[in-house]
Amino acid sequence: MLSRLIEACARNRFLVFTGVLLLTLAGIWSLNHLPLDALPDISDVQVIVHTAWNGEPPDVIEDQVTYPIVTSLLAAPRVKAVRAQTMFGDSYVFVIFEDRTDLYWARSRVIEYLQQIGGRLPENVHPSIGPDATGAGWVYEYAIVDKSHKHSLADLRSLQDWHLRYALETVPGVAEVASIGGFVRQYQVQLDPNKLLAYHIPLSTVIDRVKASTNEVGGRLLDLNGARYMIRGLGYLHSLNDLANVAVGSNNGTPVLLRNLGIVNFGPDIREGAAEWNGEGETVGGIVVMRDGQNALNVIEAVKQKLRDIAPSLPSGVEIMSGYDRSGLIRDSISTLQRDLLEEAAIVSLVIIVFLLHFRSALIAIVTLPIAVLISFIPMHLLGVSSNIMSLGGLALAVGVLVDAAIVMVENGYRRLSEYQEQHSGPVANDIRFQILIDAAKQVGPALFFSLLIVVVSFLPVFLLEAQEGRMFRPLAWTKTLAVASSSILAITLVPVLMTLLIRGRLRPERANPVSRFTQALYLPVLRFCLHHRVLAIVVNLVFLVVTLPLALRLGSQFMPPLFEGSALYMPTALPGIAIGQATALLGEQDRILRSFPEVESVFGSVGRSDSATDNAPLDMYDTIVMLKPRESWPPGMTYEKLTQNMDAKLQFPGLSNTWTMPVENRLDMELTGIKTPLGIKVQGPNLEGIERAASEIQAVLSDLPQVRSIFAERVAQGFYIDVEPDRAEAARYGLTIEDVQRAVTSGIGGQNIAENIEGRERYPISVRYERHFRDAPQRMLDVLIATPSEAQIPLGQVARVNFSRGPSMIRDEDGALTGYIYLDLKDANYGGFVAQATRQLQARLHLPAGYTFQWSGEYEFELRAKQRLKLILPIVFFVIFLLLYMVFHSVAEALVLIFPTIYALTGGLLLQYLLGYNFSVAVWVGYIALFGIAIETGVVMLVYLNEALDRRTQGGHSLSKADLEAAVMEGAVQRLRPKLMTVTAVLASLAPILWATGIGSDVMKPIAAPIVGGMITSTIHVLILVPIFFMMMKERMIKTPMNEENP
Amino acid sequence: MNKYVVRTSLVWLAIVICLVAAYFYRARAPKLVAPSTEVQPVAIGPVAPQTAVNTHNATTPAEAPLTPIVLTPERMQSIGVETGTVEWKQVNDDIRATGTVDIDERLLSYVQVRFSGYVRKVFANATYQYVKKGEPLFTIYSPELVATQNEYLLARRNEALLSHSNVDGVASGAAALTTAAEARLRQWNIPEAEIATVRETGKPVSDLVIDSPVSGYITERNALANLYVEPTTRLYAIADLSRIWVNAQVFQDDVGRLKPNDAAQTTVDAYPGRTFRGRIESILPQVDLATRTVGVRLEISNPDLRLKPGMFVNVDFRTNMGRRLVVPASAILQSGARQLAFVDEGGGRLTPKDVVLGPRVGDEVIVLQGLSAGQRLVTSANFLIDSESQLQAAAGSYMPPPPGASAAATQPSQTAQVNIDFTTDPNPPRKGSNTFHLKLTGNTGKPIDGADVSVTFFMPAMPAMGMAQMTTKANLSSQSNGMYRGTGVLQTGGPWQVTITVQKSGQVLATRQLRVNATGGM
Repeated sequence: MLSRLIEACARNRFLVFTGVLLLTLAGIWSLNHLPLDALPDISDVQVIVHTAWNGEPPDVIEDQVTYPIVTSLLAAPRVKAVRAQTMFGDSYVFVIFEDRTDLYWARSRVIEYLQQIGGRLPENVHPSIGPDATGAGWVYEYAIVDKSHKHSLADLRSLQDWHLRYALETVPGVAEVASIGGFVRQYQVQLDPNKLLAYHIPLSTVIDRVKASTNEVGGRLLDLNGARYMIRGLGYLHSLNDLANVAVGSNNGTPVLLRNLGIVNFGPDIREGAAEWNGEGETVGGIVVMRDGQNALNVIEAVKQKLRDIAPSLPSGVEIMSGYDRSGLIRDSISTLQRDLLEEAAIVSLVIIVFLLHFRSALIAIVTLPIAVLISFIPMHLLGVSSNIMSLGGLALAVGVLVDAAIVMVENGYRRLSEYQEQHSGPVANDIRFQILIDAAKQVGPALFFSLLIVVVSFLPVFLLEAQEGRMFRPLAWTKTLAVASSSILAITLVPVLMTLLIRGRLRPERANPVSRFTQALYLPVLRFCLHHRVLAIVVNLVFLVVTLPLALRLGSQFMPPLFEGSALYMPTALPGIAIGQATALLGEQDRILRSFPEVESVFGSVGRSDSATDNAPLDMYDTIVMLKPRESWPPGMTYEKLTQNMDAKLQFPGLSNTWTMPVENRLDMELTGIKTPLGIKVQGPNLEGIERAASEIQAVLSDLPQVRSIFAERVAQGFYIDVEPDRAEAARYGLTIEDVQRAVTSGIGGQNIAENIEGRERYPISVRYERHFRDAPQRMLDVLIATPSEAQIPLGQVARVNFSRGPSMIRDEDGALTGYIYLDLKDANYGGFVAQATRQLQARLHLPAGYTFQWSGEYEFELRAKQRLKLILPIVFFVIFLLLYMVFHSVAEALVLIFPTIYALTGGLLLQYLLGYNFSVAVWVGYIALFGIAIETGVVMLVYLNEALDRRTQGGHSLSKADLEAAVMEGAVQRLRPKLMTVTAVLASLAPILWATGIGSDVMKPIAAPIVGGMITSTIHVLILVPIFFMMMKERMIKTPMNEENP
Repeated sequence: MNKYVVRTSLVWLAIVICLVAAYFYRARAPKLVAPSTEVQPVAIGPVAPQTAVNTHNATTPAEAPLTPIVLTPERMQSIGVETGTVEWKQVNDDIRATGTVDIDERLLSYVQVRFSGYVRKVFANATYQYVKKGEPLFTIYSPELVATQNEYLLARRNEALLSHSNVDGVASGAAALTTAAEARLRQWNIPEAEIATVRETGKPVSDLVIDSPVSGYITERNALANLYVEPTTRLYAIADLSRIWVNAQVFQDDVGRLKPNDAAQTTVDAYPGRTFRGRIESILPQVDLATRTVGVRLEISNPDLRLKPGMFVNVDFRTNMGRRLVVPASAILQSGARQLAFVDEGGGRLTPKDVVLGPRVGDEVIVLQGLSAGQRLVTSANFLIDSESQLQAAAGSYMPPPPGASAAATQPSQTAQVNIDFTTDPNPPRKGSNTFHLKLTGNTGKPIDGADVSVTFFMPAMPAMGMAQMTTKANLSSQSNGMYRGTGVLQTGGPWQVTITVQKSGQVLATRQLRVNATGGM
């Protein structure tokens, strides 16, 4: 069937050319419309429900907001998990949907379910769903820097909140612009409780009066003399004075104004974050969050253009500095890979030219390569796979394989034709040439097509990777698979056509090719020796196998090789409970130190969180982006590791623990909620103290087990609290309810934003609370006044106690239950066995109170699931490969022989991996999986030629002797050395640019390429020496027991 | 394809299908449940084991352990450590209250006449007019008074006539009559001068001038011309404001801390920056039921009359608490139920101390237990120092100095004795298994053998990142020539805090802390 297709194509050149041209054009169009980004977004399909409740502690929000939201969302369709984090003033609920759920479908489900609980939430608390973006969408950050020092931080924040933010949100692809740092301006009414007492005005009256003091209304219309007048009632506050003059009561006809009762001024709202620029002082920052699935590069460019457009309208002295810009990373990494691709193409072309020494023939492979790549972009575009390091990396890995089919076919045609020319001196008739070439194509075509199919099939397990690694490597698997698939199609359509067009004229026979002669001269004696000492050869190979495999045990493992992003993220964390003042002071100091390094371009420091729902960092977490100068301008000998080591040494602050990471890596890490050690236990129950107790009991039980290296139960109570605890009996004595007492806490001590003043485009909250002096110490809080029903005002201290205590600084809620984590580290990797044993231990020795449960969690879950899948999938993949091989060779033994090269490929891969010092990671495994396919493919080429040589001998019909067999093997192996060396060299040479590349983005590809390169070398040796040996042994047995006459 | 191929592949296909089916069957097959006649619950609650570990009481969440820490001057400077001292001080307690200015009741007088009559002329004719003592207020015509005066005059005349009478008792009777009339006038509170005038002129004074009995402000005036006045009529109230009362309302909880004669400062919004000093005159023996406050009365002299009755004032009571041990309030870290102070013992050594505190007084707080005078305490960045102490405690890296040796003396000499040369293989270490090499030499360069060397790697938890704290401990075995070797597994890349401890026969020879950055990602 394939043969007929080849013939049909060769006879319909025009149709083939038109088809290929159209596909190529479509490929070019797709290429230009692929979204660009540095790394694939590996986060789950998730919708964040963010609820801000200003000034409330975590446990209050958890009980009244988070819990109702979480429980309502649990039943939503396709929801995989609902996890929540509640912090001071904010609740974040992460609704994680099953993979491949449409984000917008998921979002509308969340809204639907949120609607059901509207009435169950406290007043003024409105959950909202986060932007249709993830933390990985933080593509650009900027700092608003005032060089003139004329504008306050509140001014800058207003500029950001009411001017820049909306301007930038209009840029297509921007999901949200978040603000961090500075002060949110607030009208503050600060009351003197003594004056309230003196004027007999309760706090609640003041609040009501202030609430009623700012609004504007309409009064419909009035027709006057044929004109129509619109009536409005004015009443917005225009200045602080307006607010200060609000009357709150009257004393014998004399109005009591707000200013008689205290101070009215502008002040900052509660701050949950701060930003800093270059160690020069606090600033206000903006974070541009890109919408899911957009072209990051385009979005960044558009944002920067918008910022340039806005620049003239900024107040004088104010500049916008780029704090983080991912476009550099994207552009650099893409261009690194593009350069790699070009270099690969060039090298591969060179290899072909050198081996064939016939430019026109080489041109066939050279032309097919880019066409195959371009065509593969069409399905990529349709699948929505973005163009990033991973997907381009897939192409880079495939390049060597892409040309294989073309090489082998061209070589075969070339050889056949040159042989014919040798036999029949003189010009070859066109139709004879045509027939020879088509026969040559038909001879190897099906085998090649199947071997490429094997390459595709053998790579399928990569698609089975799940969760993060799945999302990370799927683009790579897609592009590699698609490119190989398109090249295999081209191999049986375009290549035969091109052969008939381009292989013509005087062809130099292979014997005249110096490269072939040299390699054959090298290979022939070795092969002959090995064929005569087969046992020795096999033993040596086995020894090699045995020696190298233990290397695998010495290598570490990791999720992803680090990608050098051209910027560093300095992320120290303090213990929970740090105050904003202390945090900001440290931030400035850190930034000054960082700025002093000559390699640093700029430092944009921030601590705490911005107002984005994608940012759930607590105040104890710093997030300082250090943009580095290009590596070329660093002092000689400086490396990224060394630099961060030096920085780390200088940034030793007591009480902080440093972390160094890179922005994209960190954003991706932050996305992954849940336990990050391989093994952990989630303890769930109705209250946090109980969970903590249960967790410490579990810790006590499990720490006895010998496998446990360390076990650590997370402490829940990490935050500092001041509890105001009403005394119900005392309160009742004064006729007060608990609510009355609590209102004093919220309004008097806390201060609420009770109204919003509208000032043109801007809106500012108005808050009422006691003067600082009356609430800045626990003792003073006792003096906060409460109005009793008898109109007396009594101090809080008479009806409540004030205590210091510790409580949660952040509350986890998973699937509606409060959750505490226990982290476990084991000495061995037998997680399954340990879990079973530990569960038995816990069941025997642990008595959890009712309502408390524990469950095992951690990355081992993924691992177990992946293992389960692999158990099922790997045999199928091997069987499919086997079937494909069988379809090519119609022989079980030959198919089995071909599976062997994979093991030898593994040894070479391990060796090179060890020499280069790469840890085991998913990336490395992906490299191995790719390697297996290629190794089998080269073996296939070898067997094709061995069989061909044997066929020639048996064509005469006479039976084979052992000498015939050996001669056939020698002929098949040695004389057909060229195509095998060409394919191997093409693969090796094509990967060389990846290994020597140093640009941004190359770090990720190297660990994938290394096993392939190493494996190709060993598997080539195997293919060249062992496959002929096995082949010969097999055939010898067949000669002895000639029962399978039917077998060709 | 020929027949053979078809046949073989069919056979193979059948085998594979059987295998796959078998696999699925095994994976999906439900566990066989013994048939039972009873209705089986879907889930059964756990049965409490009879010997359950009863650790409920023992494992109440404890406070994080703390250890002393040593900071270099640079690190101290980087977080801006400042210190203050524990000292004995005379301290006063402050109670703030509101109050109103009132007239000193002791300096308030009414003007009334003891006879009835008609007011004729009014001199002090406005409320809040200031009158001096003796200043005429008004004149009054009283027929009663005139009659009495006439009576008096008549009596005098009769006395003069009858004074020479020899009739026994006449002269004395007339004299008695005069005295009685004069006494009546006196009882009516007619000034002596007026009586004298009547006596001298022999005519009754019809319009009697009433003078102000005191100096002060007329706070109440009812005297109008032609007003008929009865003895019950209150004509004027005159208040002397040179001394006033301030009635402060003190909440009942605070009253116990006050006693008469305590000093008090009064401020009035009208006179910013000015304070009026006074003393507690008395603490009133009644709680105001409406306001739940106890009145505390201050006497304040008011020579320039700035304090006006009815004014709202703020009162600040100062009570003497005697000499107490105090520390700056900023030196105390309230860590839940625990109160901590960090004692700076010099040389960057900071030791956490649990303290028991008394009340806070201004910017200082009274220490009841845990500290002694003269100690230097950290007064800024306490939070960070507390954190560092917790981290170090968790790392288990702190090595207390050997008993008997003072910290300052032994610390430097120990490190001088032993040189520690620590390397890892690979260098820097990576996630996974690593080999550690250590070379120990004395300060003369002589290798030290046979010591117990342990290396602890520690990384603190990052709860926000879902990362637990991690420790790895490796005991290095002694090779020859001062070389030690051991292996350990690092669970993750990133910055590790390394503590090396060298012990020989139970004695700590040296400890060393350093930081390494392991490669290999999180």
